[in-house]
Amino acid sequence: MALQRILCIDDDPDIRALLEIALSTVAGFDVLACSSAEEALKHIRGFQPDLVLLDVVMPGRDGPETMHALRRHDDGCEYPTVYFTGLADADANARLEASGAIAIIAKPFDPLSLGEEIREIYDRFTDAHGA
Amino acid sequence: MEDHAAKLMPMYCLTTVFERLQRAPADLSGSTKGIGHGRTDRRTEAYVAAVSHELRNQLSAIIGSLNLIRGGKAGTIPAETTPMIDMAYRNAVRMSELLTNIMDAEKIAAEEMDIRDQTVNFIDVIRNAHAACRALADEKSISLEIKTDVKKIEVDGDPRRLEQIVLNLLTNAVNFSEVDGKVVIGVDAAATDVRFSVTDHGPGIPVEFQAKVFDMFATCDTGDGRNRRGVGLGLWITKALVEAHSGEIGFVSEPGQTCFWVTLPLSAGAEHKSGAPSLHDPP
Repeated sequence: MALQRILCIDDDPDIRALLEIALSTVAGFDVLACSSAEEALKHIRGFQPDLVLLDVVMPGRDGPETMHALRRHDDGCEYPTVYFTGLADADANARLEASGAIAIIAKPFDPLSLGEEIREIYDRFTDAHGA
Repeated sequence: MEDHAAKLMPMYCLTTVFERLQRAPADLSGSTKGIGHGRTDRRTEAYVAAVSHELRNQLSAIIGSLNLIRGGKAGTIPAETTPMIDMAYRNAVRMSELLTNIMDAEKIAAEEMDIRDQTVNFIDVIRNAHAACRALADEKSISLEIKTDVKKIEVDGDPRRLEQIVLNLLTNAVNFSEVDGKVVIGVDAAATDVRFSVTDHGPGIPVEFQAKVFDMFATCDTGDGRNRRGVGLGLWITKALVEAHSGEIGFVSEPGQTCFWVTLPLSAGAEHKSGAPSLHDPP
């Protein structure tokens, strides 16, 4: 199944605006940008994302806590999740991967190529998992 | 009202940084090996991580917006505006690189640089660094020539950090090269190690500076302002990364030519295959 719907969660409004331009205007995906886990929980069932793009360090629930909350909320549905982080640390990234993310994308990012990068990540994931 | 907001802004920023600080990863130990074993200042490290996270977010917004403008996604830009957009973009990218260097320097100083340990084809590392340096070299019409007949050399280490070593040396060589110059990358495999070199045809390193090349905050004044980029962390970090991979780094310089070299031990049971052409083959 081709990637079409992406749920983005980032507490920074400027980053959310950039993500919407990069993934919707430039790359053509359907994008829902939320500022927190709570806002995402309200919308995830209605939106049914193919993939979740998730900031790591946020006030309130952080990235891993948000991912687990989304899974609990939706009967354990494991949305493929990509972390989006300014923590350029090999060990921290390894721990994020171990927590269930399918990939990690570092900030700063290029909005012109972000959509293609995420599409490749999603395709590799679905090829490996037969989705 | 605006004055009130301006007064509150620093407080907001400090509060945000403090929240990040409280939420910074507490334990970074794990399956990686560190540079040395010694002082650990978690508080300082967490502070640097928290501040840098904030700066990275803000730089992401700046660099991302400028990228969209440069890519034509924000309408047509007047021709006379383009050089200013490009200048803003270049300087934002340099700030991002400087931030990365400051974070790395902090980790090295705290003897907590994370080095993942896996078998890596060093030729792929050079290919990636070569591609990453291409745009910078093109700005000055500098050719990046790769001279080797080796197709595969396996070393043990962290692919991201190995690429950082190569890219730092390439960037340095390009920065100190003349317009239309040439930078030559060489790779040779010996019985127990790989020797990698980067040669530029810039002014050479002044004799009086040569003993300080790998010192922290060392910047070389060539008399033409080419030391202005950076604060002298690049080669210090590069040396620390090489040593963390059990390697050695050095240089030979004379007026009109400088060659930085690095040796790294081959992986146990390593393969190295020859056969030209090599680095220009598709991966």
